[in-house]
Amino acid sequence: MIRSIVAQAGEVIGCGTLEAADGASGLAVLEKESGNVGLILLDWNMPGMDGLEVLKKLKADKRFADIPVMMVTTESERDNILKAIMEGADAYLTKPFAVEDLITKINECLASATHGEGK
Amino acid sequence: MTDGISGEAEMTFLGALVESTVETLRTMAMLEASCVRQCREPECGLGWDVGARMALTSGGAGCIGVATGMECARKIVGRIVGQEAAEVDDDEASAGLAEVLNMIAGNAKTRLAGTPQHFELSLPEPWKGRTDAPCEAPAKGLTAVFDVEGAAFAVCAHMG
Repeated sequence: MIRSIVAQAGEVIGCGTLEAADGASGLAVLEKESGNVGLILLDWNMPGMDGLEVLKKLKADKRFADIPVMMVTTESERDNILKAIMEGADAYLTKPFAVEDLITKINECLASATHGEGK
Repeated sequence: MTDGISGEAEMTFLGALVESTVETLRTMAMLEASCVRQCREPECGLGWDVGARMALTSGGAGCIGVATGMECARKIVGRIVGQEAAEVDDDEASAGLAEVLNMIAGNAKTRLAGTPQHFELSLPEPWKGRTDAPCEAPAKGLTAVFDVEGAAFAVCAHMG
């Protein structure tokens, strides 16, 4: 359901989306498509690897480390947000959220990434 | 209305679930939910078609669940994903309620941070099929029943 909302948000801002049901599948998608990925939205509570583990793997891999990551999760406690930021998350959106907030956050992440590239 | 629920711990726990349910349905589905009854699960006396449950851990093992009728589930999930209720099939409705439960539980967990009622989540599991006990809770399970635009929606929980 959240993946559907993210896909709709992507359509609104003119971005295509690639989906994966869990961390391992997401990493497999990235192996094939990393050159086309400008932003990763990552849940925390997933079957198998949790989002924090996936985030650590992403940031430890030179191929993916520069792709901005937004955590989209129900884990909204301060300690968990700090953990994610410390591991390299670029943005954090807690569920439940309004679609407008999701679109705003995505735009901010993409703008920030584009700005960073130009430096 | 509060039937047989007493004690600060239970009221704190159920209060967080009620507030989280209202916020989740309002924010994600633009639906207003009002809590009309709080009771022990076996006393609830309502039947449910679809829902989700998840284990949680605190001092001991427990569970938390949501349940409603299929029509209400389709309406909630349809509102969230921008579809007509009639376009949402039974599997999508139950899977969607699992995500709704995830959000309610996560929100309640945050509200309960720093209290003895704080808990850790697991992954939600959707279910379908008529039942009177959506959470499979023992007699000490708690249920909050909401009116969601004329339909009943329940959140139930018990802590070990």
